[in-house]
Amino acid sequence: MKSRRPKDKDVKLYSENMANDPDSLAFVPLAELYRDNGMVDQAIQMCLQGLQRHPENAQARILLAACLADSGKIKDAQRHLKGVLQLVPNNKKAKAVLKELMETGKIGNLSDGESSEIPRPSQPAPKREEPALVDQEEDLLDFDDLFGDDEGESKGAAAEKMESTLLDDLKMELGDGGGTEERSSQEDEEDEEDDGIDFDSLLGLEEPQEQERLDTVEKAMEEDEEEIDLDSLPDWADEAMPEEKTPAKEDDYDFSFLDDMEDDSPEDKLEILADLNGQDADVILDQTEEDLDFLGDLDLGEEKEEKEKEEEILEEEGTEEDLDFLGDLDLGEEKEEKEKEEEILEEEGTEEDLDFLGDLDLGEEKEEKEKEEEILEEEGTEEDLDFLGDLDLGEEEEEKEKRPFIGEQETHEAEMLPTELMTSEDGLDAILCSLTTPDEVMGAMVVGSDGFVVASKLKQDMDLEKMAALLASIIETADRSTQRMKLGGFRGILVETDTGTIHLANRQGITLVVLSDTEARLGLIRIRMHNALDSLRQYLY
Amino acid sequence: MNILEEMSNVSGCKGAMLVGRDGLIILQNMSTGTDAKALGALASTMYRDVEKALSEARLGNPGMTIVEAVDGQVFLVDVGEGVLVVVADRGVNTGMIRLRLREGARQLREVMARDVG
Repeated sequence: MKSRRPKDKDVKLYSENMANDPDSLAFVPLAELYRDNGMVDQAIQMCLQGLQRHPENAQARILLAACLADSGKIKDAQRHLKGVLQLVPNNKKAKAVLKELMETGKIGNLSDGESSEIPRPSQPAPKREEPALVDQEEDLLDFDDLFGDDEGESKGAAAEKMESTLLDDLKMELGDGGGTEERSSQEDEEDEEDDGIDFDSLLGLEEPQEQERLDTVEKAMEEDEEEIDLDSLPDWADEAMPEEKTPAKEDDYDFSFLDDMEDDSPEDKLEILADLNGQDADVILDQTEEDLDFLGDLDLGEEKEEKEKEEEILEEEGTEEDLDFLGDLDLGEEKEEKEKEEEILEEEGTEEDLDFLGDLDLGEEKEEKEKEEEILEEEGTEEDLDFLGDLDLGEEEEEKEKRPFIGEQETHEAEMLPTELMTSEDGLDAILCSLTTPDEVMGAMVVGSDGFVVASKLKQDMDLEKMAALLASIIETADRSTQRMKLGGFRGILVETDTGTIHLANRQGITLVVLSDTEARLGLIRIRMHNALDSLRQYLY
Repeated sequence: MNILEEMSNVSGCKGAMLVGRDGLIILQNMSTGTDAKALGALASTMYRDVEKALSEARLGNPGMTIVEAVDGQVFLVDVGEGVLVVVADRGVNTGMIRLRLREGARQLREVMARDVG
């Protein structure tokens, strides 16, 4: 076999292109040049390298399949063709190559991977220069279940027929010194006629008559370049219609997957591609974001862009939690903001993701917040709100559920229970504020057993240090007295004076002092002091 | 004495006594087994300390003082020349004792002012 060198000019051009841009698709024509000039191994290598970067490139995969078929690796060729057809069921080129393989009887002699290699009669089996890559190809999907292994019995006879078929192919390729043009014209012819050929009808060809039938088909193709009239085929052609007359042969060539291909989801296609290329789906996705059109509905790149846009919008407008501050805006601005958001949503079509924005009524929220703040100023804690019964907490919880993001900050403020205040720096002051909120309370302070002030919040000027020392003295005396009276440890004192009432409550060395007027509700103050002492204990210890 | 008996008969009260400013017992109706002398002295001291503290802090003069302990409560009320002391269990109706004590203290002031003064 006379091997011609590819055109140096073209090879140089494509090679430079590949060198400058490794992601270039120039590997396809370069591999095609190699193949057309008989350098099948180089073509395979080029295709494999290119498919590592462009696993979705159907043209390259078909070319790889053709090259593998040229080198006798029929099964590997079938894998790639089947993969292409799974991804693009109507790919005429892949069908044409597969049809060529079937016409030449190559797929009828498959048993397993290595035995499927049929050396070319006029060309020794090419030495694999890149065993790793080829091995990788051999480790791909196993389609034995699709193409059947039960034809080994006719392997010998088929091999002989294969030799003659391949010889005919070689003659066709190299005949009259115009092998390349001849081949390409033949492929074009087959492509044009592909629609006219009942592809499935060729699957049921029986191998013993294969050569005869092939000759007939080729003859018909030569006679009628427009379309093959299957009616003109001899009687055995009718028998070759497996769906009607030879169901027994359907097991040999199960192409039912072609019927299901249209239903494959884009994700399934991606998985097929990943399996075919021996890579992870994510890697393929990253490599081929711009070339994924062929996958049909799968456009994850666009989806990614949309997500990025949404994130940008959220960053511009603040986070969902920050939308709380939108409540402070004028309603005009708020309306503009909403319209802006709606426009963006309409443009991007992502209303689902930002549905929660639509449910917000920032005006109501503002009113709610103001109302809660007023009540908090009056009463201090939510517990107090419960006591007064001014706020319907059930409704508040429902609203929080409707406003999951905005509710977080609001909830944090509204539920300023003493235990939660322990995390804030102003916890002590907040506890004292909760005690001194009613007007009847004039002040509160926390005194240590050593007579020093821990915290205080008094509404009138007092000598805090002096008062703390005196109160500590009272506590010491009271504690000693109750001990000697066999009444146990001191817990608190209530002193009624002509100007008001002094409440002292002691627990674990912490004394809470509350000063109230004469009309104060003593029971309420004592309950609050009890709760405040619990909070203080958690805060200080 | 009737006033102290009435006070002692309030539910949860262990007894009542009238203690002078010097800590000595004027009248007492305490349950048996209670060290009335010591209790009177301690109650008087405690009341004096509270009075002093309030005075220094300019918070007025003490009226009724309730000292809560783990196992009971001590009520202290100024009745002029002395201090009315009531000892009660813990968990009693403090409000009710407070009201009775306020009324008893008023009666004792009148008695003390009439008999002593």
